Amino acid sequence: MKKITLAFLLSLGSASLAAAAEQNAQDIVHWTPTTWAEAQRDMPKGNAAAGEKLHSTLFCASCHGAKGESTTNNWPSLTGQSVAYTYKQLLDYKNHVRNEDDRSHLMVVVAQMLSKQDMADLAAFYADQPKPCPNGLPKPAPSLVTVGDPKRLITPCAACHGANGQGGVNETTALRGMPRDYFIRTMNMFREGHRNNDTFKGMSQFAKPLTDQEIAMLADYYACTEQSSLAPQAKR
Amino acid sequence: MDTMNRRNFLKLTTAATAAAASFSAGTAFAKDAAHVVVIGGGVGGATFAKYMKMYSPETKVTIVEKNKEYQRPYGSSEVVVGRLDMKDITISYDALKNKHGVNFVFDTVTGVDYDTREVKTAGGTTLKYDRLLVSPGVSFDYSQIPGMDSPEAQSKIVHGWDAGDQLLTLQKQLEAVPVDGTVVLIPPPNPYRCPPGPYERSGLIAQWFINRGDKNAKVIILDPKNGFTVDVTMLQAWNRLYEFNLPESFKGYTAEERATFKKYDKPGKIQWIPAAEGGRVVKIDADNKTVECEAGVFKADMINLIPPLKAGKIALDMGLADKSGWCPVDQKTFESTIHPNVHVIGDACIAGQMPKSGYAANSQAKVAALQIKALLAGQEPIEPAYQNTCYALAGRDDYGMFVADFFRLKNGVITRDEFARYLPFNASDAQYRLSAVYLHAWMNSFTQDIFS
Repeated sequence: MKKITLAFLLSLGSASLAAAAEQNAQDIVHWTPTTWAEAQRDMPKGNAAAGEKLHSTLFCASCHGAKGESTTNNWPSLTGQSVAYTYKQLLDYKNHVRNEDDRSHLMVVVAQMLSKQDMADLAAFYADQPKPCPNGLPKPAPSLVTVGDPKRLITPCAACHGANGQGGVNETTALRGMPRDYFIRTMNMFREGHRNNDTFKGMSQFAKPLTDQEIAMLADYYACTEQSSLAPQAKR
Repeated sequence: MDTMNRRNFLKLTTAATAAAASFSAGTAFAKDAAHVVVIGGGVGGATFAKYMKMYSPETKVTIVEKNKEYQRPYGSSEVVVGRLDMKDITISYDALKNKHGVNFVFDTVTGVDYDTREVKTAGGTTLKYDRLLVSPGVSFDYSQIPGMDSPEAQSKIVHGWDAGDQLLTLQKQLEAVPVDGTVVLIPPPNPYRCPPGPYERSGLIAQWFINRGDKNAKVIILDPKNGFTVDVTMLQAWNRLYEFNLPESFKGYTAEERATFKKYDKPGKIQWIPAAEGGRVVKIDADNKTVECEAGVFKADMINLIPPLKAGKIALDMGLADKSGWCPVDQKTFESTIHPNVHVIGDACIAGQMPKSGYAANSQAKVAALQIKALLAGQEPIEPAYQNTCYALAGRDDYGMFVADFFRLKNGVITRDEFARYLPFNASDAQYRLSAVYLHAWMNSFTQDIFS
């Protein structure tokens, strides 16, 4: 916990609580493929046990679930995400690259307290947990997932997020078992440009042409509420 | 209100009903749609109305509330120290009306007839209900404090415990405290609204003195109790931040924990005199700003008295309270054990081990909405679960703490699950800071949960 104490002491004190989450748009540095590749090379080796301790002492569980498996419709599951994904999101919060609404505002403040080692530890812990939705996604998959829509230049979701929604080889989100409301909120945020931490608009360009109905349908598909042991209230 | 008056209050409707036109606001509803009338648009009433409409859109829900806008009492001590304006704690009812389809009657309730199930307002509206939900908040009882029984004394020494202009009065009184001055703060006896609140306010005032560069100004807490919710975290924080000396009589720490406390040569910016050391107040002189307690007489530049509390006046008038001044209910459904078809939630009800807090009222409201939905459909009530979290600041804006509880019904009584409730004694600085972040985030999300 020494690192965290240090981060606390170095932070700007009481008036910075609100200010910590606000930064001028021109000061925010977005990723390029080169800088992101460098950041990954620079990532310390994560220690899952240290990550579990941070998960508890930083109260992550109060929103994301006892081990990071969200049991509500509102908050994302962290289990099953790749190390690269979690590490990048935490870096993005810390650097104000991701700050799309009040909820992420809270994460921006939390991330200020984390060192790169802390972030790698947390990422290792969540990647170690059992994946949500163990029986897999519903069948058949919607055509948007498997073939996309060439007319609107929409690449199939599975191309980046995996045929089983398990996430990509790199920092792409694992979507399998993602709570429905969070999925819809996130897609709307990408569509409207409030969330823009996707390198080279890798997500937002495909979110923009989607209709509300399509987003809701994809949310249902990836939430896989029928098979999952997630929140029973999410059953529809 | 004495018995005679209460009888008049209850009879009023019966006499007036025949003449009054019945309320017809919800014409869009089918004639046989159930109607739930809610008295009081605070945390309990507003949460209930919103969730009742979400759980049961076909049910007609009408809130009777005297104020057109809501001022939230939770977190309102930040107005006293100027961190927030009144507009920051003022909330519109528009979303409940326009988005959730809740009817509003902005009026004062003047009578209720339990036989015909009618509520009557000062403006002449009569509301017929299938179920009545009363969420009246608290009222203040000055009768036990000699010197405070006159309106004049009560206008000079205010509580600021129910939002409203009293917060601004306290703000002005605080600004008028001279350099090196003394504020005496008097918390109420149990049970009362917002258990950590009086102590958080004390810390906020001590910090306000520091921020204005005042080295010797202090807050003296004269307490009728020997402990309070979050005391173990709060007293430790004060010892670190405000040269607070731990009273010898306090029993909340182990010997090892106690040994970590600093001892200061003179009383610091906060002094806490618990009941065991003579903190119980016996008399207040509002004109001369002196407080006599069992330990002696204190001269103050400002007195903030939070007197003993009871259920909101409307609940007393409606005959829903027992001798304790609070409203007994079936703790599974919050239905009054005195009058059937009437439910009481929030600060006013007796809810087992649940504290009187906004969070608790919000949790009770959600349970009550599910239960009333079931009861209206002729079904059995569900097996409920309840929760509460109270956040508080030590004073400084980046030093927070909390108590978090889950409750279940055991033998008809709302009973706390036994888990660690507080931050650990050796919590990290990051945890205190995060608790403060959570406090402010909670203010926003909680308000949204109720009113958006």
